[in-house]
Order: sequence, then structure tokens, then C-alpha cells
Amino acid sequence: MISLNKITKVYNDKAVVNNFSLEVDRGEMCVLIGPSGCGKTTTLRMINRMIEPTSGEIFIDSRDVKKIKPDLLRRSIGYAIQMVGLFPHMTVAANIAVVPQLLRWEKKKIKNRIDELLILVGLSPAEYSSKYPYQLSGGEAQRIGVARALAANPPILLMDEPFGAVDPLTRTKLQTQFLNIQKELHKTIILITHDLDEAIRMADRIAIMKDGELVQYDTPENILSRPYNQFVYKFVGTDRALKRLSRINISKFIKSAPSVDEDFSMDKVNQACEKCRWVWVTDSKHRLIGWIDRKILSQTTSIKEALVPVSLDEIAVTEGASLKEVLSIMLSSGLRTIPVTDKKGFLIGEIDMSIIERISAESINHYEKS
Amino acid sequence: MKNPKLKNWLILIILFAFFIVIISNIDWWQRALHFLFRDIENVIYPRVPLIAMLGEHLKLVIISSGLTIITGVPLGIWVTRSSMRDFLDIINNLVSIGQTIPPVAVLALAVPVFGFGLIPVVLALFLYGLLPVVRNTIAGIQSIPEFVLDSAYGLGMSKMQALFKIEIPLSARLIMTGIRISVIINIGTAMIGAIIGAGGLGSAVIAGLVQDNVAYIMEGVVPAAFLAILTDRFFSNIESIFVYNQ
Amino acid sequence: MNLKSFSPDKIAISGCVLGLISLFPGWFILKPHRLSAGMSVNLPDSAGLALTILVGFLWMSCFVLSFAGKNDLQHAILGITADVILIFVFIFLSMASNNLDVKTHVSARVSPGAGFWLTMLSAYIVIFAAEKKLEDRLIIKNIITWTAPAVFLFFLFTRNLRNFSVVVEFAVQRQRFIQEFLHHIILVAVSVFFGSIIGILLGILAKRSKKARNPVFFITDISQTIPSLALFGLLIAPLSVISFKYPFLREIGIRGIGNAPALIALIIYCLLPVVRNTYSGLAHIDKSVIDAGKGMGMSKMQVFLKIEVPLSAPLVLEGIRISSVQGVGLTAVAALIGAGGLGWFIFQGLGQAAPDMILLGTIPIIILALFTDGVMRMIIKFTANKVKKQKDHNRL
Repeated sequence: MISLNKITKVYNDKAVVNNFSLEVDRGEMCVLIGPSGCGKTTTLRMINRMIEPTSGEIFIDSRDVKKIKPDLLRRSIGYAIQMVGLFPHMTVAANIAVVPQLLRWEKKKIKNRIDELLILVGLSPAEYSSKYPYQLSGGEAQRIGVARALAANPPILLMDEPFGAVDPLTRTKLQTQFLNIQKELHKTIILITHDLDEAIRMADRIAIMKDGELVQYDTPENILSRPYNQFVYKFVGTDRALKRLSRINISKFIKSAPSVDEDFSMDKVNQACEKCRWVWVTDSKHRLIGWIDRKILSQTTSIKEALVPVSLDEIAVTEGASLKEVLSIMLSSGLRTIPVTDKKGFLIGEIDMSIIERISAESINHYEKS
Repeated sequence: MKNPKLKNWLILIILFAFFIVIISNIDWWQRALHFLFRDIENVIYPRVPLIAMLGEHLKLVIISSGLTIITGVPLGIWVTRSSMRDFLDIINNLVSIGQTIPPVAVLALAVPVFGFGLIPVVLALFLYGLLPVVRNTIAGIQSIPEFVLDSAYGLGMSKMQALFKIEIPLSARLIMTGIRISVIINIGTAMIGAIIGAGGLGSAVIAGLVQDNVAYIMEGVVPAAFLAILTDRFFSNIESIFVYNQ
Repeated sequence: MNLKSFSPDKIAISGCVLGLISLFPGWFILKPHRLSAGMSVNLPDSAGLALTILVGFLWMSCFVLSFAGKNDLQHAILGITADVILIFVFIFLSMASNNLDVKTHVSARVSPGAGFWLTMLSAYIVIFAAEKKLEDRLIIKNIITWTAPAVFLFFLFTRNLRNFSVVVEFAVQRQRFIQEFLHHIILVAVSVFFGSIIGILLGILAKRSKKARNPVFFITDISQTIPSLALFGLLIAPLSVISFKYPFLREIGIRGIGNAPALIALIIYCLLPVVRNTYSGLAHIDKSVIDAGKGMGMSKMQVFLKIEVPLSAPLVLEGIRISSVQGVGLTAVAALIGAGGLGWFIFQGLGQAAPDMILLGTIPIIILALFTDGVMRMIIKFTANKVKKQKDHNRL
């Protein structure tokens, strides 16, 4: 889809980007990351010809971008930047409508598109359409920035730290939301960040840059487990094992969990408890409410007496979580096995510390061995 | 946000109506001036009626300020284009030196160069008026944050589209301030233009000074002050249309 | 040759082209006396063909230098060449005024024409461009800047420019000129002095009292809008009425026309810039700094004198600078209501249709305005540096 072929950009006799090649497949999110001044923004801006490369070629769908008029090229590529750059004299609706208007869409179509996009980024069209940028919070402005970049439904998005200028909490929310949008839209995206956690969370593939050169281009898992050289190793940091866990979804590792209904008779509970040290207890709607230890069970007469009630937030993870979250809850609750529920609290299964130990052992990484 | 704006326009309209009523009733002038200066026999400047003087004054200001605006704004925009960056500093430098020179001096210099009459005054007003307009146009365009223009180009606007849809609307407030300052200076300097033979409200003042007739002076001075204040308010109100951040 | 470092200087080149063009129009206007129309003379006729070609050659070398100049030495040579051209311009002026047949007419004179002025402008453009390239080479920059004015003054004082029109006019009215020049300075100084004091007080008032803020700004805003001649005129009526009622006022010089209305109007004009800048100077002081002062046990007066005054000083001085520069020009208008000053020559010159007399008033006013501006900017820079140093010191 996007292919950079030996791109070099020279400023004042110094190569800011040097012999840089990169391929990004259709529907993939590539995250460019590296220390500041490594040439990532220059690289991004050469793709939509905001900057012209000194040498090398860039192809989009095997068309040489040099052969497309810059304005027309840019209208077919979404562009969002850290400072957002909303036009202060235009309403939110007018800001989103910029590219559709440049493309001379019909008014009706533009209007519908604005509403659609506002809903997509989670803002109410009625409330936000006629607001001006100064009336928006940082997070809202960045969402509008993303909506504006998506306005004409471009197949490609270029994003330069699109969630950079907001607080960490808002940033996480925006990332989640954007991942959901991407699941739906399957854009080809090149995103710049300086935040490794963001890169690991969002990327299909990460391109690590240093001094204008590509150091490693690989999936987040591989970057974490097989850093190419000392630089990547250091860049990824000593907590790469943890970071790697954050990339791994728990769904594959959920075991079925022994559980009883709170209305069960003591016999049934005893039966269920025979093989294991404890059972999870659910209410009539199969929502997790607590657990029972087998040792206690023998000393009590009813389930209610034996039940240790739990708060879901403290000991359970939801099905979409990563192993990192599992580990975190295990450490804070002191349990080696924790339950997995869905969003509504229905018990799905449980997950065990041994999984994490196994995964970590598998990934004692390549670099340290060699 | 809307209401104070409306109020400002209403005040302006009322003041303007009041101004028109006063100007068009020469009898009232006569009576008022007679009342104030009892020992002066002739209270109304006889050579040119007040309305005509005001007309000459307006003509002078409108022609010179009109020329100023249609050349100053494009000039300011032109030197901020990336291809003209080299000239920006020298233009800024010339403009700030020019603004240090008093407007009277420019008016006076027009005479040795262009002679007497309407044309030299218009030229002097035009040239001096350019300074605040050019300066503020440059300042307005430079006040636009780079990332706003960056996203304009990034979204696929051509240079012309970015200029007309982004740069000009966003610098409009500062440009209007420049125009206001320029027009106000022109209204004031045009009064002195009467000495060079350009007519206008200054004629009555000069005649009053020469003939030691305070009433003549008042006849020129009061409408001129009024005109300046009205114009100032008018442009201020327009400026506030282009405020986008409150 | 490395193409990347080859960057022709567009500004200098346009200056050179303008310089070459300006060799052609009339350079000097010779007049037998003050009021005659005069005869335009071009450069080859006045200075001779050889010297004209020499200047043309100098422009060509500037052109080459600005096209290919790469290092500081070449930029410096470019600036100095422009200086040499300016010196030639003054030599031509001196030659033209010396060659004039003064025996037949006592007040015969030579006025500069379009070619002269355009050449000066072109040289200024080239010097500006050269100095911009020289960046932080202060010594050579100052040499380039001040050589030409120094040479001009040298010619002036060695009486080489005695037939230069403005000099002739000055010679005729020497006494009056000195008197009006001093009077002008006094009017500006007195009005700026009182205007600044009142303005600073009003600025403090506006900062301290919310009630006073709007009226203060309303009045100073409006007074700045009113045309200068109108404000002078508006003061004439009440002052003349009062002075006729109380004759002793007339005796001490307060009348409808003259110095009294001029000073009052000049003071009023002075107010707005000073009030605005005092207000914003005080308003922009970081609150934590004042809190820190109070926390250290300063009294209100000490906080004001030791913190607010020094921190707002640069902005207040900036207001005074604007007022003073503006005052130099407005004082010229005051001559119309009989207050005297350099404006007297302008309006006399306008009245008598004598261009040289107009110039005799105008040129010193412009120089005075530029000089005031320069001096005030230096003072502001100095205080700002001092404040900055103090801040840095406090931080340590």
C-alpha cells in the first residue's frame, strides 16, 4: 500500500533521513518511534509531500507520489497532528467539512458525513457541530482532529502524535477508542509517537528509527522479545517483559473454572469442591459474587456462611484484558488464580499465574541469549 | 457574547444619527455658536458650507484610505509569502522607521516633491497610511500558529485556498486594527491638508486661526472630532467580528 | 562549485538594480533663489561622465558581490562599497553646491532631486542586506552604519554643503532656527514629563481600582482618537473664554492660542500609551513574585517600590517612548495654534510656498523623532537587561 524506497532528506548538508525504506500493508497500522530528532516527522511529511525528499521514491498503491499533484494527493490522505490545528474561525462542523468541501461534495452528503464522524469519535452531533475550537477540551479537540482527518474517507491516515497533547488518562481513552475505530475502518495508518507503551498497544508493526535510519521494523512482540541491537534493547527498556505481557490477550489462556450457584445445596457444593481447593460462587444470573474455600466448607452449614464475597474490580479481569493486567491484579490481590468475567460480570473462566510464568520463560529473549 | 456586540452597534448607530442631525442643521450651529461666543459677529465660516467641508474631508480620507487598503493589505500579504521571505525584514524595517516619522512631516515633505493641491495630500496620506496597514497585515499573518497552516496544507488546501480560507480570515482582526489606525491618522492629518489646499474641515480651522475667530475653529474641530470617534468605533466593532477565541 | 552555498542575495540585488537605474533621473535642482522653480541637472552634467561611470562601476561590483558573496569578508566589502557610493553622493552634492554660480545670486541654492534620493535609498537597501548577512559582527556593522553619516557631517561642518538648499535656508534664519528648535524640545520634554507622571498615576489607579479602570481607558482612548488639530482647536475656545474672564491668566501666558492649549493637548495625547503600558506592566507581574515579597515581610510600599516598579519599568518606559516620539510630531502641529517650535518653519514654508523652509522644519523633526526613538530604545534595553539580571539573580 505505502512503500518508501531508499528515501533520503538532506538539510544543510546533514542527512535527517537517510536511505530509509519501509513497506506498510493495506489495513495495517505502522507506528514510527524513536528519540526526538530521529527524523520520524520528516519521514511522515514526505509521504504527503509536505516535504520533498532529496532522493528516493515513495509509492502509494504502486503510484509514484511525485506524479500526483500535492494538493490532490493530500486530499486523499488523512492527516492529524499533535497540535491538532483546528481552524479557530470555523465551527467543529466546518472544520470536519474542509476536505469534503475541497472535493466538492454535495451539501447534504457533507452534513450526513459530519454527523456520522462525530458519532464515530463519540461526540454528540447536536451538541458539538456548532461549537468553536476554543470551546473544546484538549481530548475533544484531538477527537475532532481525527474526525477531520477521516472526513473524506481516505484509505490512508498519517498521524503525528495524535494523542500527544492530552493527559495520560484521556490519552488511554482516545487510544482505545481509536483502536475500535480502526477495527471497523481498516485504514492504512502511519502513526508517530514517542510513547513506547502507545506504540506497543496500537501497532501492527513498529518501526524504530535512530538518526534518520530504520533500526528495526517488526511486530511489537518481536521488537520486545528479539531486539535487533543494543539501541533497541535499551530503547525498549528493562521492563520489556512486562510490556510484552501487555501485548498478549488472555483469551487463549482462559481455563474453565469450577463454579457453583449460590442456591445450590451443600451436597452439590461439596461435590464440586472435591477436586479443587476452592470454587467460584455466582448468583442466579451467573454473575460472580465470591468464592468458597474447601477447608472452610467443612466447618460451615450453608453456602452463605462459607462465601467470601469479592469486588470484581479487585480480583477479576475482563475477557479483553492483557496478561499484564492479569499479573497486576494477581500481585495486588495476592491470588495465583483469578477469575475472568465478561463486561457484565458473568463468570467465563479463570486464569493462572503459571501461564504468565510459562510465557515469560518462553520469551527470555533472544538478545540476552546471544 | 452576541449581546455586547449588538449594543456596540446600536450605540454607533445612535451616535451616527445624532451626528447627521447636527451636521445638517446649520441653524442650530449658528444659534449654539452665537450663544457661546457672543462677541463674535460672524459665527459660520462663510466660504464653504459645513456639509461641503465634511464632504471634502470624507472624499480625501476615503480616496487615500481606499488606496491604502487596496495596496497595503496585498503588499503585506505578498511579503509574507515564502518566496518573498528575504524582503520581509527590510519591509518591516522601513515600516518601523516610517512610523517614527511624524505624519505632519510626511505631509510637509509632499509639497517640495509634489507641489500644492489635492493630489499631494492624497499621496501623503496614502503613503503614511500604508505603514500601519502593512505592519498589521504582516503581524496578523505571522500571528497564525504554524501548526494551523500545517494542517491546512496537510488536508490538501492549495496555497491560494489556504490564503483565502485560513490566513486572511485569521489575520482579519489585526488587519482591521491596522486599517482603523490608518484611517484615524488620515482623518487627523487631512485637517492639516487644508493648508496645502486640499479643503476639508481643516479650512474652517485655519481660517479661524488666521482671523482669530474661535467660532470658525469650533465649526471645523467639533465635526472632525466626532467623525474620528465614529470611525474609530465603527472599525472597532468590525474588528470584534473577527475575534475567534472568546 | 558547491551549489548549496550559492545563494544570491535578492534584497542586495534589487538595491543594486535600483541604484543603477537611479543614475539616470535628475540628481540636483539648481535654483537662483528660494521661490524659483529651478533647473534639473542630471549626474553626468553635474559631476562629469567619468565619476558617473565610476559610480556605475561601484554598483556593478555591489551587484557581483551580492550575487556571489559567500563569506563575511565579501559581505563586509559589499557594505563598504555601498558606503563608498554614499560618500560619492555627498561629494557630488558638495561639488554641485560649490559649482553653483553664487556670485550672481546671494541665496542661490541646490536641492537634491529624484536620482539623489533614490541612490540614497538603494545604498540603504544594500547596507541593510549586507549587515543582515554579517549577523553578530558588531564592529564592522557599526563602521558600515556610521561611516556615511560621519562623512555627511564632515562635509556639512567644513562648509562644503554651504549651497545645499536647506543649509542656505538655515544660514538665512539661523537665530530663529535655534530658538524654535529649543522651543520644540522644551515643549516635548515638558509635555512628556507631565504626561508621563499623570499617565503612570492613572495607570496605577486603573490597576488598583476596578471602578476607575473603564472610565480611565475610555477617556484616554477617545482623546487619542481625536485629530491633533481638533484637540488643539477644542482647547482654544474654553481657554480663551477663561482667560478673558480672568485677565491675570493672560498675563502669565494662558490664552486661547499659544503654549497653554498646546501643552494641555500634548499632555493629553501623552496619556494613552503611558496609561496602557503602566497598566499592563503591573498586570503582567507574576502574582507569585508579589506573594513571595509579602511572604518575606515587605510592606505594601516596599512591595510596590522593590517589586512592582522595577518589574513594570521596561513596559512603562516603552509607553513613554511611544509618547515622546508621537509628541515630537504633534508638537509640530502645535505651531499652527501659535505655540512655535519647528512646525513654525513648516507652516511658514507652506504659507510662502517655500519648499526649502518646509525642509528646514521637517528634516530636524524627523531626525529628532528618530533620535528620541533610538535613545528611548537604548534606555529600555538597558532597564530590561537590568530587570532580567535581577530576576536571574533572585533565582539563584
